Amino acid sequence: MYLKFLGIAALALTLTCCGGGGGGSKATSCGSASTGNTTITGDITYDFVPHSSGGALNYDNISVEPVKGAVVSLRYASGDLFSSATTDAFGRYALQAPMNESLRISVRAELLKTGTPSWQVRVTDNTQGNALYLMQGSISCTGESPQIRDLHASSGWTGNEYGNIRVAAPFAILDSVYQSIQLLLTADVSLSMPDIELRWSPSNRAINGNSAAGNIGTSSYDGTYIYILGDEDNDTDEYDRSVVQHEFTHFLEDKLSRSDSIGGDHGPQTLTDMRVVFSEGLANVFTAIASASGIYEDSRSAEQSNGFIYSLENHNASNFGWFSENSVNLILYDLVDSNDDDADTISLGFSPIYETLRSSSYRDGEALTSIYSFTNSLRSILSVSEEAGLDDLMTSQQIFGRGAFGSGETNDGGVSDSLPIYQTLVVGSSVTLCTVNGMNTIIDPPRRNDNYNGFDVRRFASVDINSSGNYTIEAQRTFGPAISNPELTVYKDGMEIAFLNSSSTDSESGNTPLNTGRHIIELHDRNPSTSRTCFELSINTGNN
Amino acid sequence: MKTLSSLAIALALFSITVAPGALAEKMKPTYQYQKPGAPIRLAEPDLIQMEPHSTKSVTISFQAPSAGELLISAKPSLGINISDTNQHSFDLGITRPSLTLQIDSQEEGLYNIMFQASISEQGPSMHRVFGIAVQVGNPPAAKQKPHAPYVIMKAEETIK
Repeated sequence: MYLKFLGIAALALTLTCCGGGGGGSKATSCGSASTGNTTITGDITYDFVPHSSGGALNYDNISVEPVKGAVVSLRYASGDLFSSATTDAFGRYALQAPMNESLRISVRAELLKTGTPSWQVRVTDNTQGNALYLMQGSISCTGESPQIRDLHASSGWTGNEYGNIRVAAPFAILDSVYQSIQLLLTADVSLSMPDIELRWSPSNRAINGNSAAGNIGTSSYDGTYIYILGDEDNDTDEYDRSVVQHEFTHFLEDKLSRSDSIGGDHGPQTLTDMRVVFSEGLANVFTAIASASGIYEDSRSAEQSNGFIYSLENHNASNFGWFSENSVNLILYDLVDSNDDDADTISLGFSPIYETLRSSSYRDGEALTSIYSFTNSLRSILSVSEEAGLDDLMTSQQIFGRGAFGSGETNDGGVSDSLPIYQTLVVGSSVTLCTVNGMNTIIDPPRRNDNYNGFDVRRFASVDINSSGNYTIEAQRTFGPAISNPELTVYKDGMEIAFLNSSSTDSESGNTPLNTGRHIIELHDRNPSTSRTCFELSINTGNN
Repeated sequence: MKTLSSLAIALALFSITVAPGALAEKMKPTYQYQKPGAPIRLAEPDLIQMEPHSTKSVTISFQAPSAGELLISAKPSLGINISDTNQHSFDLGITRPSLTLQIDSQEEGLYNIMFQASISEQGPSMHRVFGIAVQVGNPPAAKQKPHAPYVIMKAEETIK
């Protein structure tokens, strides 16, 4: 448990005045004729539905929680703004108000902080034109004395269903992001976070299709927006902090750090592409820390009465290795947490993790992102004893390779062709790369009939280019069924700079300009079989 | 991080060095980073179409790992009925999972069948909810509705 992250950095309670003026055309006078300003203060709260021990939602223990860091406004009946402020860490606000005017308090599902640090987080409805959620009180007379107006967002739960509007849901999502930002601030007081919009609707269901109709596939980050499920009796995620914060981490990786993950289905049990497992493990650990829960949990099914839950600190795992989300979970969590156990003798806290994710060595490194590239960059800020602790953790997870490229790795996950993780390719020569594709047969929606992110699906080679120019890269099937369709992707420092994907059977080739430096070539068979298929990958100087 | 600036630099480099016939540079593709869960999804079909007031038999197959036990059940949305809402078990090491369902439709409209799935192998059991759309009759013509800037919800308010 990493309680020190609960040391909430309170947002300043601001008292802001004034966008409008009493007596203008926007105003509706009430009460006496006295003019001038008074104050309105209050608490903004929402219903939070916690989980039971099994990951289900527990409607018997709904708690009233403060809406923190959200934008509160005082508006005329016309909608025109008089003043606005943000709530503090206790959900309190204070606004100046004109005396004897009829106005209402409204609260946007928006975290807004300008200056340094800065962020803007909005919760919108993708089924209603991405409109921003807002809750509001009644039009009431401000009077002449200071007034208290408390607003509360109800869950809408009426015993066995959401019989009323789910007002609390957007604010629950917002609070999960608020928690995440507090964690980031412990490591970066100057945080400058790009804007992010989280899209939620009671109609958001786990069907692929048109997100404007609510068919979002599942809760996910698509490179621009975070979509959150809201489908009652099937899968709702607004109270699943783990889900919201997991997806928020993908946004952070994308915008503040680097991720080479190719996404797709994943879980702790599967043997998955090293880029995916690092990204997913990081996201699992981030929420366990940000929520100070140490767990991952997700509710589902009728009345949200089922779910799953596991501890990041202590859960059964069998698929140890560089291809395991389990292993990344356990290593990263043990690096951060202050509870030493088993091979864990290291307690770094979150800051070194964040510093590494933000470092140029990680963001601009030659190797693809993985547990190797991350720990290789992390080492530069560790003491000798801390490095030893890191080595112990990696070894305990049967990760034996070191350096950004995982050199010396001996754990092949039961597929001997998976090693070395990067074959060394030299200009003018070739290497053999083999895929098996039988361990994690997952289909990616845009690429149907295609194995996607299993750890044995894609193979990598590294090649040093000593002089800039055009190069011919070629892959030719040498073993396996004659139905293959290889495609090649060339990366440099995390940038995808070339993609060869002709429809040719059993071969792929093309010319591409390459600058000096190390490049990574990824080989993927778009028409895989469960049989072992091998390719001879070569690179030669091409025609200029 | 694939920042815009580094992307711009890379593209600028290629605008200088690309030779005729060479490959165009590839922009970063868009991937979907989805929440953790059981690694299962629809294999086929991805949409069911049928006529109003009709019955259709559909075999829905699933893509899943080749090891572990899958428990799966189906539930229709209001407006359609299905023949089987029981939970089924599959040994993924032996069987490629599928369910054959009789679907009874009523009025035109867009409905769905949702699946609750869990896969247990070793370690924690993982779950996933996913579904398939059922289009009964013709889809309505798409209409652009004007949207307000806010979804306004009524708060519980106490004024003192």
